[in-house]
Amino acid sequence: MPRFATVPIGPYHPALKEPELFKLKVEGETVVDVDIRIGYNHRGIEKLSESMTYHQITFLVERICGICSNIHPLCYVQAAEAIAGIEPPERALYIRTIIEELERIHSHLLWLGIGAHIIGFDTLFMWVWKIREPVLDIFEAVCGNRQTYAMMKIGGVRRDIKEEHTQMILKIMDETERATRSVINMVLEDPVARARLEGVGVLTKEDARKYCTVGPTARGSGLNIDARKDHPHAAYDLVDFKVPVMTEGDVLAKTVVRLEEILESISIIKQALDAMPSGDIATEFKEMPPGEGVGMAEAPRGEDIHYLKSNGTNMPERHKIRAPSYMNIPSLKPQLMNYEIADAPIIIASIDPCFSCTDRITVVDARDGKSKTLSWDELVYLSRRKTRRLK
Amino acid sequence: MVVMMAEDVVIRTAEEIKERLKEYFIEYELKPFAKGKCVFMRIRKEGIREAAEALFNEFDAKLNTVSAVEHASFFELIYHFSLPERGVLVNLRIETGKDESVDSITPLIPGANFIEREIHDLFGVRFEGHPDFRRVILPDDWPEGVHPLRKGYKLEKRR
Repeated sequence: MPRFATVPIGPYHPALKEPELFKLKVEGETVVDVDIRIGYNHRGIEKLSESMTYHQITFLVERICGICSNIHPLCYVQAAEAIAGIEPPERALYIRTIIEELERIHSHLLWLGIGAHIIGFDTLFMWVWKIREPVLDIFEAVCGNRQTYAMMKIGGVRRDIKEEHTQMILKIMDETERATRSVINMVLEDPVARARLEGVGVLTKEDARKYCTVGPTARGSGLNIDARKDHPHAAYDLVDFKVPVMTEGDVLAKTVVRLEEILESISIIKQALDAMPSGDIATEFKEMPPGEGVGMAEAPRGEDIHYLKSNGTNMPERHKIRAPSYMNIPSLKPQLMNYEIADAPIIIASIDPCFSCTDRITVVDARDGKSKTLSWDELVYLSRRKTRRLK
Repeated sequence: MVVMMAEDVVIRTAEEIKERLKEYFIEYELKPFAKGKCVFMRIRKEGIREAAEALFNEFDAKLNTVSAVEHASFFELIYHFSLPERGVLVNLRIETGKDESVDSITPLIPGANFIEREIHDLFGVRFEGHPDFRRVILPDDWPEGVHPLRKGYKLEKRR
């Protein structure tokens, strides 16, 4: 008789917009079925948005996610501008692009650090976060905040990028580029890292499409989709960049996609700083006519979409928000199936949900009905022990 | 000039979809989106499954999400589809009475699974033929028949 056990992971991931519960049904060490439950941290932001003015909502949606805090305001103001029929000045479009790409760089570096920690490469983790730090210094200089930048507003941006910022950004981008290239070599040439990432958590192209995945999760599985190319917004049609796509679909492919995206982002920022015209940074926004609009932008985790419906008052009739992880989380089911529990942390992390460390895991043994509770740290320990065995 | 060409693609795509779904087609209009236009197309709700199948299989579309909007006597569901290769966004609009159900598209597109369950949680729209119609957003002890995104639901109630 097969010996099945259920290993629930979660539901407490408070840093994520959708904290989730993964119930892994395991036979021995192998995952044979997965049930995913979300909604534990539903804050009713869509309902709240219906009782706030259009200016206030920019700051409300900025608080949906702490890592990609620029993407929701960006989507929202684009939806609002589509209804109001206003076009931001070109300089504002370039500034939006620069802020969004800086966010992508710091988010991908943060993810790589966490991924390295999960598989037991703490040296890489420390290095990568050291590389990330100067990027946050740019935000501090330009926006006054290292996170929740408050840069977007309907009609443009709230702060300009000044000449002294340009020099600082260019200098830090050069350093980040050099450091990222050496990190790419470190990851790709380390046999143990490859052994943990290669062929693990494979998402086939067919599944990636069926589950409507977005961002690096989809691009690691051979889907060439990127809202920056498919639906150009901000200044993405005015700069030249590549969309890295890998076909393997494993954790390594998603890692390589993200690492190459960092280099593309650095190139976009340099081009944008060079091409940015001088002038106003915002068009005046007076009132919102009745109507509806969609805003879409490519977040570090994939495409983000806002639907906004106005009824002519100063508050929206409806504001629908769909964050990228919402589409990627269900695709973890085919990714986790038939792999070991020790691979589960890096597979779950491979879609880049924001992780927090307060998770508790209950292992229920189906044979004797006894249950014990594991912390997230203990699960990560399982993963790290697997790496040590390989060394 | 570039924008003009992009708009041609949007109109051509809208016409192709209109032709493919002519049995259910009601009307379409173009609205500003990003740096160009997008399509808002209204179809009869009986056609949603065929429409989803046609867009997903024949137009290589990707389902972005579904937005539900409550009106006085009916719900409006807007299915946002991206056609990445053409760079076109198609928003399919259907209307459904408050007590009626809608055909689920999850059997065709598994990515719609959470989306439809969430709309049921928050608005109370039922999806017929969904393989796993459990709650997804609301907690298990949330009262039956209370849908917090409906206009009649006031935030103060549960404070």
